[in-house]
Amino acid sequence: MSDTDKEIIKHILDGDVRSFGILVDKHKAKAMTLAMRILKNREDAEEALQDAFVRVYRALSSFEWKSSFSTWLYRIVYNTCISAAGKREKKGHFSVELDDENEYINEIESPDIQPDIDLESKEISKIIYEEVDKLPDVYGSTFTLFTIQDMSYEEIVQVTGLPLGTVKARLFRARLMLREALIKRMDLAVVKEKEGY
Amino acid sequence: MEHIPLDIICKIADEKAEEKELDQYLAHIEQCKICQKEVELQRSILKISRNKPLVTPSKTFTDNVLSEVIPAGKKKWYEWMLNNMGNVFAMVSVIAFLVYVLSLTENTDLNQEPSNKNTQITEIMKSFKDISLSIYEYFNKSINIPDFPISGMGTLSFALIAIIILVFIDQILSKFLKRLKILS
Repeated sequence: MSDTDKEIIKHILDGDVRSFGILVDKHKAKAMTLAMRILKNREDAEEALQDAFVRVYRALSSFEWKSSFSTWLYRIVYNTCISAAGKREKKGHFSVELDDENEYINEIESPDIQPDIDLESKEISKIIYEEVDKLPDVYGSTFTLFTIQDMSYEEIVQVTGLPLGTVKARLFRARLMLREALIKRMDLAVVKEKEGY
Repeated sequence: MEHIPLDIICKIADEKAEEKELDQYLAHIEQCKICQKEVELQRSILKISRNKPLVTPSKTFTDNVLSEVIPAGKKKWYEWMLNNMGNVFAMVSVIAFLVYVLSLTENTDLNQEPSNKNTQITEIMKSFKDISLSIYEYFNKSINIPDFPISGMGTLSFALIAIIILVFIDQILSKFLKRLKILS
């Protein structure tokens, strides 16, 4: 049975530095996925992630277990990647889309979907996989924390430092974008005059 | 028929809708196939996204992280030796050279005219002795180090201290270059 984060961290703090490798192996894939959603480039994501893990190691002795280790880890990964993205933006390779938490509810103009579609088809999975990768970084990162890390809204607030309303707005927008893309690519819209939304 | 707003659909799909909202909309969902499908679609989007394969970093990623953090922590002696092969080799070479030269000086009178056979070696030894003496005198004037004979063990001790200082400078320089990302 694999050790829990707490046990592994205890080993590291007791002087077994090599145990940090176990901690890295345990979290690297999910953390890399988050880094990729923000930076959209494998090389940059891996460099930022390496930097984040080194920061985690250096701050490990001061971690007070006020949150779970993974929440704390993803906060460092998130901040490191946002900082790397900011540096890249200054160089002119990156753009951050800003959002307003209050503007999403009343502006939905979306077609209804056909009620008889098969939502379990491989084609739908393929499209969603592709569209998740295409989400703008601000939505993609929040959506990744919500889905892959299985975090609650409150945990996402802790990781990103964003207000709860903004987190909810970003998650909703991400889902709306995926829904729109799916309807467009699969031609799922009901061909009739809209009744609602 | 007015459909349920999408933000409420998402809440229902996530099972995060408040009781009040559920009471208000559940009856509609039971009757409306389009809203039922919307709830299903939102659940599917989440389910599929959760099953999306993760992105894995390169195979050397963990080793790269460890190589960054281990110098800050404890490094085993053989790992230190492996990472400082160049320094260790240089130290051994210098010590070997010193031992060789000193073993020759004990049997050679440097003030005599060099014989034809060992002219070059004797010249090198003489220069080495002169340089050692100059360095020793320079430091003796500045920091008043204890007296010790320039030949034999004295020179060897002096050379060892010099090597240790050089390695120390090398370590600081390496860290500085790594920080500037000139060295990996």
